[in-house]
Amino acid sequence: MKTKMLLFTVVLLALLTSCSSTRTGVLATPAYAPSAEINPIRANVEVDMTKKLKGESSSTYFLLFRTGGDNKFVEGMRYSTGSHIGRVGKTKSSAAYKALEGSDADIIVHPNYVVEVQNFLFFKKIKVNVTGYAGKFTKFYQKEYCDDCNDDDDDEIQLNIDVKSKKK
Amino acid sequence: MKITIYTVLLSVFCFNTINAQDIKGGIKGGVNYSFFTEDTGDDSGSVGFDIGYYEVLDFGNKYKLQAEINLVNNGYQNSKAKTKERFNYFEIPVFIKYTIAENFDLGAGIKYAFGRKGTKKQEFEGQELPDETTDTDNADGGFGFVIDGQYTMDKLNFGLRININSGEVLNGYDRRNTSLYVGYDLF
Repeated sequence: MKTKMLLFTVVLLALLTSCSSTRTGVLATPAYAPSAEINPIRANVEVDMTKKLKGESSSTYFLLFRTGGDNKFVEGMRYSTGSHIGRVGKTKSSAAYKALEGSDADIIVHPNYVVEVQNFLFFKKIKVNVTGYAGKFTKFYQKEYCDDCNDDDDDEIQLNIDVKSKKK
Repeated sequence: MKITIYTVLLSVFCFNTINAQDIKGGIKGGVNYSFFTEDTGDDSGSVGFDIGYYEVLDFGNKYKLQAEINLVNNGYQNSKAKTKERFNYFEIPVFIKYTIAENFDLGAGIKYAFGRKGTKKQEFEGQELPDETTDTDNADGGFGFVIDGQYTMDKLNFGLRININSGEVLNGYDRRNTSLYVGYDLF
């Protein structure tokens, strides 16, 4: 029994051992800390219509456990459907990473996701294909503060996408 | 037992690879024979059957993960008391298989048995009494171990399995169950 316990502990420790570093930035730490609102950052994006990005990823699950799939993901994915978490969202994120990997692009413009989900009794397989145009940031700038302006939707980075076709 | 289960589950994570993983599944059926591992006097095992559904996840690196749900029928008999006891239960085996030769896999894992129900039939030989059939519930369920050997031939697979514990304790006697089965891949 002791040997089994020892073996289990060794396996558990081997699997759980990892390293991570966290860097946290704060604006200030006084006793009274009013939150500072940052003017929205806008970006100009050049879209290369001649270059289409493609990425494919799949993952498999056994009951609640992820048994396989890619292990690199794009952080901060946002979808029009709002589904950015969960098994499908994770696979989408991985497909997006693959699409951007090795390309010169910063973002995928107008991404189209094709999601194929196979449900079995014990297993589940998710396959995602993404295609979109390569977008590259050309300029970042901040909008000046304006008292009279309606800034309801200015909380996030805004992208001004200028489509510039590159004809061969 | 909990340690074993956790170890098996952790080993599932160990196979979390980026290889292409294929899933296939099908139906299976076979005959089984129960035998006691200790001196049980006049008790002896008998032949039963099992049918089920299986799914196999191929990790693409010689390892496979197989899960099943089976309906098992087996039992035992007592030659002195002229009783035959048969019972049915469901079992869910989950095990890791490794391809040791072309088309031949050897696997081991755990299973969970539940929903046992059975009947006990008493024969009154030489007496003017009718046979008696009563419901019984004296088979232990719970977790057990599985050892499996399987040969695959296209969509057909043939296997021999040894079940240890789980649903294999009868009247307090430890028992093993050996199943010879044929499976057919549906997808």
